Amino acid sequence: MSKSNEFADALIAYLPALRRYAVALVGNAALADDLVQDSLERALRQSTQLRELQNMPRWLRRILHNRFIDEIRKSGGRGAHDDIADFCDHPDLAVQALDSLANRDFVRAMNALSFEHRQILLLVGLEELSYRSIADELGIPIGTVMSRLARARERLRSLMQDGGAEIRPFPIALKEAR
Amino acid sequence: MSGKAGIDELELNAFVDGELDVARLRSVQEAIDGDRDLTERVTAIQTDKLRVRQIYGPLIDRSLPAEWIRLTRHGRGQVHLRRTGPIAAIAAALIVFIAAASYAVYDVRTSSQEEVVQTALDARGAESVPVKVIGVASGGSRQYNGVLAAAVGLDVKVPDLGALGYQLVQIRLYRISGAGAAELSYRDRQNRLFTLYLRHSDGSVRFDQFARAGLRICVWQDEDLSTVMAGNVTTAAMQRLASLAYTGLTL
Repeated sequence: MSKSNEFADALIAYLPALRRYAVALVGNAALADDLVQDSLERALRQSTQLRELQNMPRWLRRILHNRFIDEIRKSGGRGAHDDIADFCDHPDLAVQALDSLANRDFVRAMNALSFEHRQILLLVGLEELSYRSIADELGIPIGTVMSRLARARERLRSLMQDGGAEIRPFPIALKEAR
Repeated sequence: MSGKAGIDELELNAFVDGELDVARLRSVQEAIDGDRDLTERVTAIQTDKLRVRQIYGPLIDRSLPAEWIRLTRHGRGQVHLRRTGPIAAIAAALIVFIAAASYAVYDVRTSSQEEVVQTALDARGAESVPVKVIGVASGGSRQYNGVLAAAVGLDVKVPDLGALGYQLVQIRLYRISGAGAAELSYRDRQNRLFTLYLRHSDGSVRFDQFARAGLRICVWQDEDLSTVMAGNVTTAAMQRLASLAYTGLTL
């Protein structure tokens, strides 16, 4: 099997996880798909930059992060898309299973966090990375990982307790809560 | 922000995330056990962490757009990609909330795609009768390459999953509607079963991962080959196994 086939196989195998991560990070499934698609195209163009296939998840997330930050900058810190939480109230899209207000509030609160806070919560809680891996991936000391994570969880809890009073539309300014 | 018993917020988070060394873990655990406030704090952190996993985790089970798979395989020239519009945005956004509300495994089922999965699960559950069963003694799996290729009529090889701790233990060959199919059974050191079912594809391109009947299932299909992988494994483990298995089929 050629190197390019191995690369393609590894890429396809990781795409579902990248797509999931993107939806959670961006808070908007449509925008997430656009970002994943852009990231996929970029990854294919830059495939020679990936030296070890086992590093593909980290490499793809970095591409996705960069694309997302570009999007935020282009939109001046706010996106044109609606917050995904607003869709649950759409009259034509009633979902009977939406019986957990706590879950809905949680998603709203997650979407109201800063990019960096959401990112670190997802890297720990969804991607299940160690602090060391996160530090390496983000290029920051472990101490910063720990303090950022603690602040992110504190902020999330605060937003949940406030009942969403402070929640703003996606995507939230990058430098919040630094 | 050091708190009770000299334990600060960062350490409580590290405790929940399994990041404390053994010595510190013991002392933090003792402090938490003896302090209701600390216990509540830890519970809150654990709950929020678990909720991230429960709400967003099932999103991995969404089918990949076939265009993405074709793009990855063949490059841009042959693929017309489309951007999502408002309707797609609404539909896509709904997926998040279905997952968020249900706390349940998100099964991806379409009738045309279901058949190969069900056939594979029937084979795994011994509900279909093989035409031949080959027990595999410990040792290399390569000697069965010819058998496998002949059975399914494709130039495929028996993947070696040893790097992930799984050894080939059995090959079962089937004839279904005149076409050949095969199931490769692997077991790890804990005797957990991982199966790889393969046969000719219907020509569609597909990559799905989802949970069904207590198993994590990965369907990986190109224009020629259809594979269904199943095991009682985590999502991350399935990603690694699927990647290694699919690569090994043609390596």
